[in-house]
Amino acid sequence: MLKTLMFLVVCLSLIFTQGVFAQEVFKIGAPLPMTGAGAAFGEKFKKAYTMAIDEINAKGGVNGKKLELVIDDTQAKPATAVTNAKKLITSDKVVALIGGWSSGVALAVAPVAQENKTPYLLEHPALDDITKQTPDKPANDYVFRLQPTTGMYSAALEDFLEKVVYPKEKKKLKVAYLYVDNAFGQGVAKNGVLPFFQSKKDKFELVVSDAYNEKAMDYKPLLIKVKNANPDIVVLTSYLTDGILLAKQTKEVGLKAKLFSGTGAGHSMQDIYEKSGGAVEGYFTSGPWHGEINSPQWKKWRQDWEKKFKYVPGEHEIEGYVAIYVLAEALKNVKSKDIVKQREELQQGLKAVNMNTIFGKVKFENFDGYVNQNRAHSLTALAQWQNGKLLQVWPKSAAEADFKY
Amino acid sequence: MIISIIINGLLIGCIYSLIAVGLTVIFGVMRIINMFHGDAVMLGMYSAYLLHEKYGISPYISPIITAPAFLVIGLAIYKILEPIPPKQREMSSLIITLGISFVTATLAMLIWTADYRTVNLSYSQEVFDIFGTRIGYPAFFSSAFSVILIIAFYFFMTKTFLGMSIRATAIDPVSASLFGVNVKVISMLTFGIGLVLAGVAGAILSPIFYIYPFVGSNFVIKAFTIVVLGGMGSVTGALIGGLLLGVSEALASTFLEYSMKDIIAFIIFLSVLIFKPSGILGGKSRV
Repeated sequence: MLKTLMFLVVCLSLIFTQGVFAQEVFKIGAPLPMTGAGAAFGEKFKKAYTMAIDEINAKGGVNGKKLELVIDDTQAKPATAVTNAKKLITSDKVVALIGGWSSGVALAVAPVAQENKTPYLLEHPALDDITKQTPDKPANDYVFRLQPTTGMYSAALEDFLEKVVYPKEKKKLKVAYLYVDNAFGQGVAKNGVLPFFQSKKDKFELVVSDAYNEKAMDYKPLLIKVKNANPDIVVLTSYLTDGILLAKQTKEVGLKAKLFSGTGAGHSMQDIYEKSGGAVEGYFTSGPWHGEINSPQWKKWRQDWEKKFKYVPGEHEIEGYVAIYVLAEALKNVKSKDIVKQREELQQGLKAVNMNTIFGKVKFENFDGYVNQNRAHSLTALAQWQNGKLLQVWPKSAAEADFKY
Repeated sequence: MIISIIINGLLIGCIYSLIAVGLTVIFGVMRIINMFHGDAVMLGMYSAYLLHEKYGISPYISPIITAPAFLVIGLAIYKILEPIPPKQREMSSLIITLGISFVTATLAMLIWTADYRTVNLSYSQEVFDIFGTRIGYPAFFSSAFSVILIIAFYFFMTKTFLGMSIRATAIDPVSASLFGVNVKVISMLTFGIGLVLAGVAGAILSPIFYIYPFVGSNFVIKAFTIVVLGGMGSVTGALIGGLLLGVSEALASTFLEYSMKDIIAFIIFLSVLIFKPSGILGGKSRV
């Protein structure tokens, strides 16, 4: 009898205390690569999340509740990430999932979040399909994304071509486009660059449009073909190694154009300048920006970051930091005590988000087949390699230097 | 335009050939499927890169210094493969050399990290004109050295006693040993020479390509294709196979849809396998 009573007391107290804890904090689950190939990136996001959460908690949290980060190591493996997500949702009882770093992981986690009706906020994985609805895949309306998808990477370049290059040249411009044949290249090509040029046939003529093998040893025949088409503009979607070879061999075959531009990835890495022996000097590159870098709030954030972590933050840091603030904004809508209801209220809260952050405007919308996707076309910037430095030149509001064209 | 494209195909084809020559000799003489070959090329690239960075030695000269090291590596690996009975050679050697390949590439990553490196020479971006085709000096030198080496190797195989012993061992080890050829020593040396060729190919390739620990995998499949195309063990076959692959790739990448590009190389490959299984020059003369 005594034993049974004791057992009952223990059980009741467990339930009770669990209930109390569940009320005191909002747990946010982050499946991140903390070991393995992506560990360096997992660490960046951990810092960014923690910094934002500490700031919010110092001001009293949201609705009187503190935020708590629960990280689970994915080793950047999609299969592991599924287990991570299930554990975070069912045993840690997180109110939302965030991040994941790579598109592969996000693609695996999204259905788990959807199935368990747990909001999942993306701030870095860029593959369009994650928030895009396809005929055989219904919309994941619990998945939200605040940053540009690969299909939007070229948005700043498109803007620049229409507003600066075309008005200056005053003639129909010939464009050559080469892209790497993998998920990234196809994403940028099929969702961004190709539809743009096809819809602006009065201003631009696509004279070459070709995918290439990332591992090829010689791109000269392809570049000779481009040279023979005599393009005004050459657009490239490349990783690092192919980008290096393309830049060097472009010089070698003597391919000249008024403008060369990459679309992020390889062309935005410092390595491409050094390893190509400076062959990319003058190249533009269009991709996700680093925030409203000329705003005082952004400058303050950067100062704080450098003081705290002793290095200059890039796109990952700002994305992670802002994502927590977006979640905090949406969490204001969460008033229930039951975790299932909380998640529903958070989903509603995220749908209603309409805020300005140091990363830019955040509002989740359904458009062009995307679901709960921030219209992040405007969160891209065009940068240019000038004397070995990559400087943001377009849009004007986020420019660090004048473009050389 | 078509002339430019064929010239470029021939240039890269020369380098393909040089990579394949080392492989075909090892394969032809010992029936060893050497998956380590690509990693030997990788080591050749790194050694050329390091000698160029630290001492400013041109990648076209540094193989003279590094060749003995590759000979030693070759002899050491051969010692591991030697105990395998000839009948099981092909399968076992494939698995063992694949293992050595993984270990080497991973060690390279530990030592040199996964960063990409390039060798930028002072004349890296200088070009000259021939038949209206612009050719970069590094691309020209790399291809020219490849051809010179292949021709020199051909004469070594046909005119010197050692070369003839290697060929004799390839054709019939038993008869060769009856004529006083030390088959064991010859096999060992052949493996060493094959790896030296791979190392040299790596050095020659370094000014026009990029370097990282797993770069070897880029070459291995191409090299095997060329070896089968040209006929196993045939030096001239490797040269012709390499040039054929280089030109067909160049033409395909210019005139065909992307999805067709890789098919062309394999159509040639399969047709050779079906219509002439011993390779273009295989069966008749083994050199």
